[in-house]
Parts: sequence; structure tokens; C-alpha cells
Amino acid sequence: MEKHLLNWDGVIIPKLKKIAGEDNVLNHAIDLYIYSRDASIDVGMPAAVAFVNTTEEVADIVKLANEEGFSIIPRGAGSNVSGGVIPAKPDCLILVLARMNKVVDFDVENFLITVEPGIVCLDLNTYLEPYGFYFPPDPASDKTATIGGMINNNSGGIRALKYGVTEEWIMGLEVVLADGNVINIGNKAIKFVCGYDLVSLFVGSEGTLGIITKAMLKIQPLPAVRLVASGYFNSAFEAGKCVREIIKRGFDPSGTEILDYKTLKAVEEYSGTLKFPECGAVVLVELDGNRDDVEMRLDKLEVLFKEMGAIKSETARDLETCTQVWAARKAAFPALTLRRPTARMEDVSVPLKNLPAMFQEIDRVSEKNGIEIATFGHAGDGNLHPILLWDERDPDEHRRALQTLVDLWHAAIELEGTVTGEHGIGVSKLMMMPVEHQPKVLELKKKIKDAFDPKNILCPGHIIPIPGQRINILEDA
Amino acid sequence: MTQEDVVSGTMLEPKYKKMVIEDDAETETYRCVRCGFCRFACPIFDATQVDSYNCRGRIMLERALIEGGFPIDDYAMEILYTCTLCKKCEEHCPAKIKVTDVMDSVRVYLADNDYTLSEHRSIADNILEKGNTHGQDYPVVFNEVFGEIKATLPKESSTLYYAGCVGTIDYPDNSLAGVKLLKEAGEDFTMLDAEDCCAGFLNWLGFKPYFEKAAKKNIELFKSQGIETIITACPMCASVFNEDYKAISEDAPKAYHISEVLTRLIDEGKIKLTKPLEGKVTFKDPCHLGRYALKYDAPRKIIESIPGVEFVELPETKGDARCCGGPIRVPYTELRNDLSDEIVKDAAKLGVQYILTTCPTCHHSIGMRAYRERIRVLELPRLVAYSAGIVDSYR
Repeated sequence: MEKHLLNWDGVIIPKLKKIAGEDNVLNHAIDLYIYSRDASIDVGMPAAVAFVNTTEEVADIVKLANEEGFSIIPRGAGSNVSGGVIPAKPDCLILVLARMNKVVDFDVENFLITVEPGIVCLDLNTYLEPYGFYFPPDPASDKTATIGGMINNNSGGIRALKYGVTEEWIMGLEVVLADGNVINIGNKAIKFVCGYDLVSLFVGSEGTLGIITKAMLKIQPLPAVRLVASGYFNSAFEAGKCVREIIKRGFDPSGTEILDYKTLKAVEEYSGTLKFPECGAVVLVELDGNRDDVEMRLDKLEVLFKEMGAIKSETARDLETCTQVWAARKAAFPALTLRRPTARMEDVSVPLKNLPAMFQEIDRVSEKNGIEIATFGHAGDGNLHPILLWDERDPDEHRRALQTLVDLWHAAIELEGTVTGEHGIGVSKLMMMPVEHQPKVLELKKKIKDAFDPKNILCPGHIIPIPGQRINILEDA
Repeated sequence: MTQEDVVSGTMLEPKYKKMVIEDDAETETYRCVRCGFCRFACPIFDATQVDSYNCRGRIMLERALIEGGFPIDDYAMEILYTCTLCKKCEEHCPAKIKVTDVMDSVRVYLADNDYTLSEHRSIADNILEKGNTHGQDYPVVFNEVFGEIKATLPKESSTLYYAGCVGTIDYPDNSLAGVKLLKEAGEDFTMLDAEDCCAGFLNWLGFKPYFEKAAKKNIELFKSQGIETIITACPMCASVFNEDYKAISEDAPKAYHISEVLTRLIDEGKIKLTKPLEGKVTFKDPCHLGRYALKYDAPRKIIESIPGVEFVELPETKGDARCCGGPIRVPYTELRNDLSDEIVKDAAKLGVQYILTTCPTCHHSIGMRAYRERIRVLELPRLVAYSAGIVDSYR
């Protein structure tokens, strides 16, 4: 990346400190480096890092950016896996909203809660639990992911199959626009069609259209029980077919997850205690609701597993066993990271009919490039997490791993799917935007960006490339 | 972005002297996927809310130093020396990265290359020259505390009560209570004429050769006296004996924390707890008894045996227990206070009168802050001795 051109030390940093406070602006080289990365493989050095505590501070900093010409990248926990909080050009400020983490209003009668964007998903659910509620979107990173980050990436999770992704739970937003103005959008009313739905536009916009400073969320009563069934199959292909049948026959699962053979073996080694039957893949199905209904559906599910050729099936009907089953699923990614120095999680998503074919494509690109891939994911909604494993210190293997990524993305699009089901584009997948979208669609997206942020102050080079930006990840490899 | 940028992942030019650490530790730094789950765990991040002071930030910095991307300046040293080695991040790291092993290796490099703090060198000098972390005339203090009771103990035994320097100097009544309890219960044990520090701090601060020298001296001493088992009231000492001494020599005796022994003695009826402690209490798991040694039950069993006690768990307990910050109190006293304040805040919300612990370092760190909430910090040996009618006061 080229050098920063603006006068940060002499002009911008002192002004930022005046707004955010002396101790809340960092520009030591080490701090800049720490904030140059997220959980993706991308990297980009900011010029400064500022921590904010109020909407007013955010607005003042955006106005300052307009005056001085720097760019802003909002950041929550920095757990993004697609370079969503990584500068793509010089003269970027990382604006950390994680300290804005309070509950602003709990309107329990309307099943609504208004929070600041820095609140962590798990902390929100811990807050709600005594009241008998929860916030359904459940990314695996709920221990660290902030609600602001989840909204900006329209995060999904295991239960997205039944409860949908984040956008379905957002009723309103307070947003600082790119000119520093603050707007409130959305409504407490469940039915609301008063003109263009700007809330939905901001959800998943990855910080490119405005900075979310408050969010009004819908919440859901906790179900009486959540029970789990596991079906073991000879291949991921067969497991994928079973998942489609479970949905077709109206089992109404809250989540259906697939773990392939490699993932299961890694989980066994990781846990030291779990032991799975010899199989090609397992399907985990969660059913929630009242106990009698869920028990009845579990019984029928065991019959379906047999009908679909399962080698073995199990049901977990108590909390402890269910927790163990989900612990195995949650251990999938960490278990795989132990296998090689570098692990990258992808999130290709395909229509259900093509899920078995996607598994075959994963095997094909893995073999073609000589890169190990283990796969698990939210099979019920067609969203898979192929995990690429390699050693990034080996230039040849690194090049082949990047080629594998690109091949995977193309395969997903060929199968009428998308390169990203829940992680977003960030700076990591920009090269696939022209592949996945028609030129006219890209033009419209660019016009939306220009309408909200004509000076390109917010997350420049994210979703919409900037002139000269190198977006082809294979170019340097 | 160049290929090297991607490969190194730093975008930093390798223009400084490269830090060299053990191969295994270096590989661990590459295994970090920067998921940020450690934000949930790291007490220093909790206090600072800056990722540079989080486990993820430290590993990124370590990796950059390995690649020569930064000079080791004062700020880098502060980031690296403010890790308390509490291991809480390891409880939450999905990749199970051996964070403390990496930090140990990094600090060995720092110390070997004179990237040390003057305050740390003073601690090292105190341990090496005076046999204790505080720089006191330890043989004199040791004999003042234990002289009388030592005269009543057998000269020889295969079991040693090792008091530990921090406990002996800061909380002599507690250390002495441990000896009295064992004696009263009829245990066969002895004490040394004079103790030298276990030297754990030398290890944690990276002074490896000095640690090994001090450890070997202690191991030889234990061996010459026929010591096979050690009982100590300091969980840090116990951890050092069982992990770090054992790594140096198989001859190192097996160490038990006194809470494990007291639990047995209470079970066997050799110690009878009759005097009550009226009030609501909570227990702070010391990192070295908990996450290092996985001993969570023993202190709780003891607490439940004390009449009158109403016991409540802290919200973050056992493997999730907060660190008191004690290991970094020199020179990062304010940060230590921030960490201990969080424990006190949690305890105050529970409405307790007492925070119990079994570690002199926790006792000191939390005790320095708890008085502001009118909460007292007590260590178990003295409280048990009080309840058993062996000492008159638990305060």
C-alpha cells in the first residue's frame, strides 16, 4: 500500500483527540499494525485508530473526515473473515465502535430491544435470557461478534434455516451518514411499507453506506426445548440429499448441519473423547418447540434417516446430550485449524437442489489444486463452510490455495449460488463481483453507493472497487 | 499488496533484527486465525479495551517481531510484559493455541537479549541474591515466623512444608496457620532451616538460565534432605515445582497445594471445623491452582465444611475465573488494580462480606482493593485453623 498523504500527526490526530479524547486515539506503529487485520487473510495499514463512545463523536469524526479528506472504516470486534474492516487505500481511520455496547431501551411489551452497535451477541442473549427471550441470529462467533458487525454483514448462523438471517430481526436503525448527518429509519410497527426500505439497504452494506450507531432489534421467546438428531451417511452427497428431504417433508428444523468425514476425524482428535461411527458425513438436525411436538418429530426423523440410507442414527433428548452434540459442531473449525498452520473458512451458498453437487465440486477443486479441504456447514439453507488448509509460508502451496479459493467461488456461481452466504464481500472477494453480477447490476450498486457516500469516505474499496485497486487475489501469487 | 506481504501477513518490511523463539512456539503464532475469541477472555483486554493488549494482538506482534517488522521498543515490551500468563485465553481459544508457552519463549528471547525492565531485574536480583522476591533478609524473616514451631517438628521427613516467600513475608499468620494445621492433624512433615524462593518469577520473566540455576539448587537441597513430597500454601510454588522443576529433573518432589491436603484431613476427621464464620463468602480461584493445576473442588469442599458460611460463586469462576493481575504488579500496578477491581465489583454485587482465596498473590492484589467495598480477603489455611480452634483470629 502507498504511503499516507494527509497530515495525520500535525492536523488530524490532534483534532480526533479533541473529539474522542486524548487516550482514545492510537497511532503507534504497533497499534496500527494490530488494527491492520481481521480474521481474513487480508491486510491493510490504517493511519490511525479511534475509539468512540457516543453517536455525537461518530458524527463529529465523519464531519472531520469530510473536511480533511480521510476515509473511515467502522470496526466492532474485528472478527470479520472477508476483510470487512481492512483499509484498501491509504489515509484510513479505523473507527472502533466496540465500546458503544449498552442496551438503550428494552421494550418488552413490543418484543423489541434497542442497543448500541458494540454489544456482543452472546452478551445480548445473556441479558435477554432471564426475561425468557433471545435474539435468534446465531453466528458461531457469538462470543465476540458485535451486533453492529452482524448487521453490517447480515450474519447468519445455524438457526438461519428457521429464523432467517440478521436482516429479518432489525426493525430500525440510527445511522450516521457519510456527511455526518444522523438519521433514524425503520418503525416499531411490524408491518411497515412507507416507501423504500432503507433499513434493509443498510443491513449487509458492510459499512459502506453509513455508520450504524443504534439498532432496534426484534426478539423471540425462548423455545421450551431444543433437541437434536444425528444421521450418519456413507457420503456427504447422500447426507446432502437427506437434508433436502427433511425440509421437503415439513420437519421444520431450526438447524441442519453437515460435517464431512475429514471434519469428524479432526473433531475426534481435537476432543480426545468423542468417537463417531465410520462414515462419509453426519447430518445434525435441531428441532425446537414444545417437548411433545419435538419428541414426535424426532421419532419420525429416525425413520426418515433409515429410509434415506443412514448407516446409523442417534437422538439427543436431554440438554446435556444436545449440548455435547452441538459442542462437536462448534469444535469443527477449531479442530481443523490444528491440522495445518493456515486455515481459511469459506461460505459458498447454493440452492438446496445443488447442495450434493457442491460437495462433489469441493472434492474436485481440492484434488485439482492439491489443497486439503474439509467441509461442514448449514446444509439446510445451502450454506457450506469449506475449510482450506495449508501453510501460507510456502509460496507454492499458498498460490495453489488461492487458486482453490477462486475455483470454489466459480463452482458455487455455476451451481446457481453465491460466493458468500453470510461473510460478505469486504476486500477479499471483490474479484467475484463482476462474475456473480451483471454489469448493469454493478452499475446500480455503484449508484447506490454514490448516492449515500459521494466522496467515498466510508470503507472505500469494499464491495465497490476503487480505481487502481488490485482485486485479483491470484495476481500476486 | 505483494506476495511477501500476503505470505508474511504483516505488510511490514523485515528491516529489524528478527526475534528468534523456539520452533514450536513460532508455529503456534502462525496458527492464530485472529478470530478474536480471546477478547472474551483476556483480563488485560477487558481493562484496556485495546486489541494490542489482547492475546490476538500479542500474537500478531510476536509474529511481526519474528519477521523483523518492528524494533523491540518500550511499547512492544509493555505489550509483551503485561500478559499475566493467567491462561484464561487458552480456555476460550478455539484453536487451542498454547499462548503461555509462546509468551514464555518470547520472554526468554527478550531477557537473553537485554530487553528487560529494571523493575524485573530487581526482582531477579532479589531472588538470586536474597532468596525472595521482596529483597528482604529472608532467613531472618523465615525464622521469626517459623522458628518456634520448627523446633517442634521432626528434623527429618520425606514430606516438606514449603511456606513460599510471598506468603511468609506478606501473610505470615496464614503461612504459620498451615504448619499448625498439619501438626495438629498429626501429619509427618518437616521444614527447611531456611527456604529459597521457588524462583518462578525468574521463569515467568524469561530469565531462564537463572531460573534453572535456582531450581537445580532447590532440587539438590530437597534431594539431600530426602524430600519426596512438598506441601505448600502457595499455588504458584506448587505449579513451579510440579511443572517447571519436573521439566528440569525427574528428581523434583511432587508438590501438593495445602487445600488438597486439608480436604483429606477434614474428610479423615483429623481436622474438625467447629467455630463458624458468619457471613456470605465467595471464592476466587487462583490461576495457578485452577487453570494451571485444574484443582477446583478442594477449596470448595473446605469452604462447605466451615460452619455458618453462606457460599456463592463469582459470576466468572473455575476455568473462567478472572485473574487478580498479581503477576504483573511490578511495575504495572495500576493495571493490576484494574483487574482486581473487577473481581471486587463482582463480589460486591453478590453482597459478600468475604472473598476467600488460597494464594498469597491473589490475597495481596485483591486485598489492596477490596477494603473500599468493605470486603475482607481471607486465605483458607488461617480460616480453617480458626474454625478448628487452632488460632484465635482469622483476620
